[in-house]
Formats: sequence, structure tokens, C-alpha cells
Amino acid sequence: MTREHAHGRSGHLVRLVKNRLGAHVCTSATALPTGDTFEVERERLLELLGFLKRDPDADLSLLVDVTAIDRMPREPRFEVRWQLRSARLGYRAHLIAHLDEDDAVIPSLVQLYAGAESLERELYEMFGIYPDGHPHLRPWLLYQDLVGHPLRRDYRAGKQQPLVPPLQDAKPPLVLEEAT
Amino acid sequence: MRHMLDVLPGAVLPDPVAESADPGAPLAPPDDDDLLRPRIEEELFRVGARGSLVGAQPTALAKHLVWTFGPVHRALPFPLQLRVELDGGRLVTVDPEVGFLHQGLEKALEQVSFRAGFEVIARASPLSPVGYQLCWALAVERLCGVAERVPKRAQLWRVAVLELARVADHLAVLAQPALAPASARLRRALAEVARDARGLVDGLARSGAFAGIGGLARPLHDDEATRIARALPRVLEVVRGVQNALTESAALDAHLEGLGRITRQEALSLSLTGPALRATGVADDLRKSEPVFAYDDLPVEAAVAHGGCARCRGRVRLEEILFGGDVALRALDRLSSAPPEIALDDGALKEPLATPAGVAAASLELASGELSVIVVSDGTDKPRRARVRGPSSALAAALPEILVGDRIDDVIPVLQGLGLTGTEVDR
Repeated sequence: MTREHAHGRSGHLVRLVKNRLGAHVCTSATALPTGDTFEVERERLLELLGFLKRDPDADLSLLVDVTAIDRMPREPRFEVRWQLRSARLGYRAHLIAHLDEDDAVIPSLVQLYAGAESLERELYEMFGIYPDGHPHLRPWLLYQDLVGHPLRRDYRAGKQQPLVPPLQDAKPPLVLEEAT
Repeated sequence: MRHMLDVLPGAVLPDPVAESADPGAPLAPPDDDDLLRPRIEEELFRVGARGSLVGAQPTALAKHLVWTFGPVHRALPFPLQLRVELDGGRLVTVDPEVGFLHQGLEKALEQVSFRAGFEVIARASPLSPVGYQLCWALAVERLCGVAERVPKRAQLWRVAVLELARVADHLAVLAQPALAPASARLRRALAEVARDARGLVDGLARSGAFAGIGGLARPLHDDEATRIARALPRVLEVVRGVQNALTESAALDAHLEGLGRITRQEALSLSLTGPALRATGVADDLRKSEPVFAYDDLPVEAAVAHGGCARCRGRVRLEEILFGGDVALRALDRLSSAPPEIALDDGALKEPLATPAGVAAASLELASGELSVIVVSDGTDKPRRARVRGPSSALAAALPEILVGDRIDDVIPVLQGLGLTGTEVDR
């Protein structure tokens, strides 16, 4: 028995969701010592998250992290993970959604958690997963002209790109006339 | 002729009646607002261009001075660009631009083995790397399923070094000139013990002992514990003196009152943790709610303040130094009764380390808040994915909400008091 089990935390959120929302809201729910883990369809994400945030017995008030795992070449390619925590009650939850490469869109959480703003900007620039409904999507750590999504597995680790794009009408380098 | 700008909100309209009544009368002195109003009035900006965030209002036209501050300035804690709009001296909007120190740490972690990851992840926080290394160790241990079996001695050492690092990090923040109490004597004393505390933890952290999976990578001599147990109380004594002085004379840190104020709801919504959240009255501490290592055997207290301003954050830090130092001393004290094993002798941890496929998450409470690490393995000797999210990232993203409404000259004390680490934000 791990400490988290001993504290009686693990499994609480799974039971809560099953009792109040029904089992159909997520495709699977697992009680893990490091936080209850829910796999959800993208379309049910906001319903589940809104419940977990507002229900006083869950009170997941902190969005700890939003990130993705590139499972290439496995399909579906992306696994997006939201990590949430209750500052008051100490529960932790991981929400997982699986996305295909050609449909890499998630609903934006900015309306629920203001902290999602920078996290989703980073998710988009690093993985190309588009947060639908994000109010002002632009790069967070990278820059506007960078091509590609660096944390995808098919982006070569040693790849280099110019920080400033070459000028369109740059003058050709000066060549001294050869002495005749 | 009435200029187009005059009809905009905030513009000072000339009063035609007053002007025609007595042309010879002396001009009324301009009010303060006029003197502060910048000359660049041709530029029109939308208030809340960033406006997307909490409490966003529909845009309104106004004239403000737009000022880009940074990314390189000696007053800034790290390369950070702040594009601010000023109304007089007040910040109307703040748009932080980060990433100037981006080193691709998460990609780099995917390229090396789990053990070599210690060297890479330490670069997320060069000044205080030990918290990152221990969080990495915990995540990999969970991946291998050995986290619960790490020997007691290693667990106690881990708690001790984490708490020492917390003391040193808090003191490094508090001893900065813009934040220190308004007393030259106390300021000198704080700066001195900040150096001492850093000296205590730096040798330990850089010994390489904490870059081990399943325990300590190399043994630490008991003399180390004795040396720290002898030197740390002197540091704590000075901090206690500063705390008493602040309790007796509230004027000593009155210059921080109300700066960078943030409400509890905003702090939670913006994912703030650590002193920034506890200063708004939320007693949230991972050492209590999710005790790892030897924390569940040691009495941990969370310092809480109400008010959510820079002064409250400073006081929370001051109190946490005392609590943290106490925990470190208790952990060191228990070392003598702990069994001598320092690392797990398990076949699963032999070199080369090949973890079972899976995902493991670990979180630790560092000085500025929660550090969260996710490690994904697909059964090879290198991580499939490594995610590092340090506390400064959320703080940097929350800068607009923290700074808007403050005066431009209060930006530096607020930034310094948040304890931002640039490499942690940019990774």
C-alpha cells in the first residue's frame, strides 16, 4: 500500500465522477497513487473539467500543467494530458485525450482557468495542437517565424533555424571587380 | 479647430467659454495628470489588447504611452521583455515576452539516458538545481516502481537538502536591495546570512550525491550533517531577529505594502503556487498534502498570509525560512538513527537503466512553488518524453494580473519578490 492510498485520497475522484456524472462521461477512469487518471473524449472534456472544478467535493482549482506526448508512429498520434490539483483538498487528477494528427484540436480552457493561456500557447508552438477558442494564440517561448513544432518526434533535435528570416530584397554580397 | 483626439475619453478638452471671457488672465496651472501625460498622443492603442484574460473588458480607445522594457536590463531578474502601456505612472496593460533563454531542455532530455537526465535537468535552475534533480529522481523511481523502497537515510538527506535549498532560495530573494527591510543593519545581516545559507547547500547540491536513482549516488559523510547542524541555527537566529524587528516596527517593510496585489481567485485561476498563493490565504503546501521522501515523518508547517501583496509574500518567505530550517535540522538529527544503506540495491536499477514502458508524474514543493515533472518511457533507455514545469512559468504568465494597476517604479520590487528564475520559465 502506497502512502497516497494510506491517505485515502486515491480513487476519490473516480468514485465521485461515477456517482455524480455517470461512467459514460469518460472512456476509462483509473485510481493511481499519483492522481486519479481519466481518459476522455475531447467532446466531453469541458463537461468533466467543469464538474471537477466546481464540485465542492473535488474542487480542482489549480491547473498544474497541460502537455502532450507524441506517440508517433502509433495511432492516434497525440496524447494530451491535463494535470489538475485541489489546493484545498489535496486531490490530483490527470485527464487524457487522444488525438489524431490531422485533427489535433482541443477545446481551450482559458474560460475555466486563466493559467491555461500560456500553457496552450506553448502546447500549440511545441506540438501544433490547436486550442480552439484561445483568445490570443501566439508563441510563448519560441518566435513567430519558427517553422515546425519542435517537440514532435519527427522534428530533428539538432535542427537549426535562423532567428531572423532572410530579407526578400537583400542586396547580393559585394564582389570586388577582378583586376584585369 | 477641434482635434480628433480631443473627443476621446481621457482627453482634456479646452473650455472655449473660459478662454474668451478674459484673454489676459493668467493660465491655470496644469494639473498633475497633464504633466505626467506623455507627449506621444498620436498613437492610439486598445486597452486590453492582451485582453483575453480574466476580467477582460471590451476594448476602449485611449491614449497611453507604450513602453517596451527589456529584455536586457540590469534591474530585470532575467531576460524578460515587458511591453507596458502607461497612464501617467500607472501600468494599464502588461504583456510579458519570455523565451530569450530557451534552451530546449525538454527536447534535450529525450536525447539522453535517464541517468544523464540529471545533468540536463539541473540546467533548468543553475543556482538551485537540487530540487529539479530530486524531482527527476522521484519521477524515474516511480516509473521503475521503486519510489516507496528508497532507504530511509537517503530520504532524510533528500529532505534536508531540499529544506536547505529552500532556506537559501528564500534568503536570496529577501536579501535583494529592493525588497530588504528599510534598515541598513538588517539588510546587511540578511545579505550575510544569504551567502552563508547558499554556502551550506551549494557544496551538498554540487557533490553529485543527489543525482542518484533509488537513493544517493554517493555517500555523504556524517561530518557534513554535523557541520550544517552547527551553522544553520546561526542563520535562523538572524532571520528570527529580522522577523521580530518587522513585527515590532511595521514601517520596515511598509514600502512593499499593496504592491503587486492579487486576489485568491486570481491566484488559483492563474495556477500560482508557493508563496504567491500562500500569501493570499491558501494553506496549500505539497509537503503536507502529498508527502514524499521523509516528509510524512517530519512536522511541516505552511506559512500563510492574507493580503496577496509583495509584503505578504515577503513575510511568508521569512516564516518559511524558519519552518524549513527547523525541518532540515530534524531530518539531520534523525540521520544518526537511520540504517546505513544509502541506495537501493535492486536489479531493476542496474546500468543501463531500462525502465518499463509507462508514464510517471512527480511534484515537489520548491521555494517558489510547485515543480511538476512527467516522464514517459517506451521501454528503451531514453525517455520518450520529459515534461518539466517549474513554478516560475506560472508566475511569468501571471505578470499582467500581478502588475497592472501598480506604478512603473514598483515593477522591480514586485518582480524581485516573486523569485522568478529565467531558465525555469524558458527551459
